[in-house]
Amino acid sequence: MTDPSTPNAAKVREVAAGVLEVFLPLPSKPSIINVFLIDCGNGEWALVDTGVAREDSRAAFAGALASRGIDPAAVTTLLGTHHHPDHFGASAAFREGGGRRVFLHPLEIERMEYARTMTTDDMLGHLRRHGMPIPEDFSGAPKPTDVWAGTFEPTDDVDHLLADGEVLEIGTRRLQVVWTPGHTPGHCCFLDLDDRTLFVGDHLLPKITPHVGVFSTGPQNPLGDFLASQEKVAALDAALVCPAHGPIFSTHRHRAHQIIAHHEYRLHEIRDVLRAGPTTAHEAAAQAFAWVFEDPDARMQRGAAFMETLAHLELLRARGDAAREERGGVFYFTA
Amino acid sequence: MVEKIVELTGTSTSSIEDAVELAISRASVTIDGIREATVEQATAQIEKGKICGWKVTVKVRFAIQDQVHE
Repeated sequence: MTDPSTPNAAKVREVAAGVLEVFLPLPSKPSIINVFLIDCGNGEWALVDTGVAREDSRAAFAGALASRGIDPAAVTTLLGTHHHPDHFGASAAFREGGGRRVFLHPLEIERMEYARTMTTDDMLGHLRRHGMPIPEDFSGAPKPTDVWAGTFEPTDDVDHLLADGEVLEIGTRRLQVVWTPGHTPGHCCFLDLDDRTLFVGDHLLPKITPHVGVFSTGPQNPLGDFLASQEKVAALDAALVCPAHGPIFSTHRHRAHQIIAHHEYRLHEIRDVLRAGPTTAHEAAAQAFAWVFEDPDARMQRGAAFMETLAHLELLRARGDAAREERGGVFYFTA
Repeated sequence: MVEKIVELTGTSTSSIEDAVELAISRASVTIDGIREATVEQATAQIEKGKICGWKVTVKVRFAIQDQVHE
C-alpha cells in the first residue's frame, strides 16, 4: 500500500511483481507518460524511460521513489525505448543523480544528433519539395531544437548500445531487447523473459497510434518498418503490456493487428486520393486529415499530419501501388 | 446466433467498389469478425456534368463476440 501522507504517493502503483508504474506529467498532450521501475532483486532497480526535463516531472519521480522507500542511487540502469523528450529528455539528470548505466539503440543517438544539427532551412526545403505552400520570405518557423527546449536534456554518455534480440541480465532479471523501428528508427521494446511483461514505449499504445513520419534525412519508408515491427511484437509471447501512454493491457496481439488495420485503412484512403490525379503529399494530407487542416486551432498538428501522410505515400510506393515524379522541384504521387 | 448491424458510408474518387472497400477497411479497425456487408445505396457525386466520386451507404453485419472471463 502507498503511504497517502507522502507527496505524489498516488502516482505510483505496482502493476506486476516488482514492477512499479510511475505517472509523470507532460507539458502537452498526451498529458502523462508512464515510466516503469523494475526491481532487479539485488537492491538494484532498472528504469524504463525518464519523463521530460522539467521540475514538476523531477518532483513527481522523486516523490514516487520516496513513497516506496527506494533510494535514488539504487536506480542504477536506464533502459531508453527511444530518444524523444518524454522518454529520454531527463537522462542527463538521471546520470547526475548517480545512475550508473544508460542503454539506448545506436540509431537513436543518430537521431539526437540530427535533431541538434537540423536547420529550419532543411525542414522548410523538405516541406516545400512535398508541396507545402510556404512563402520564400517565411521566417516564422521555429528551429527544430526550439520545439524541444525546456524538456530535452539528454545525456551523451550512453554506456551500452542496444542490439536486437540481445538479453540484458540485470540482477535477477533477464530482459530481451526487441528492436521495433517505425515511430523512431531505433525504438526498442523490452520483454521480461521470466514474467513475460513487455515494456513497449510508444510502439504499442492501447488508445492512440504513435506518429510515424518521413523526415528529410529518412528513413524513406518508416511506415513499412512500423508495420513489420507490429507483426514482430504480435509474434511474441507476452502476458502484460506496459505502454508509455494509457492503461496497461494484456491483448498485445489484438492491439498490434488493430494498429495494422488502422494504417491499411489509411493507405486505402490515401491511394483513393491519388486516383483523382497527381497529388503532392501536402494536398493528400489536406484531404486525408481534412479536420486538422480545417480547424485553425489544430495548426500545430498539420506538420504531423503531413509527415504521416508522406509515410503512407512512401509505403504505397514501396508496395508498387503508387509512383512519384518530380516537376519543378516538387514531388507528385500517382496511383 | 445474434448479429449486430452498423451502417456507415464510404466515399471514393474512383469507384463504388473502392468506396465499399474503404468503408469496410475502416470498420475492420474496431470491429472483429465482419462477414457480410450490404450496399444500401450508391450516390454519384457530380461536378461540371461529370462523375467525380461515389458515396455508398453500407450495412455491415458481424457476430457479437462476448468476452469470456479467464
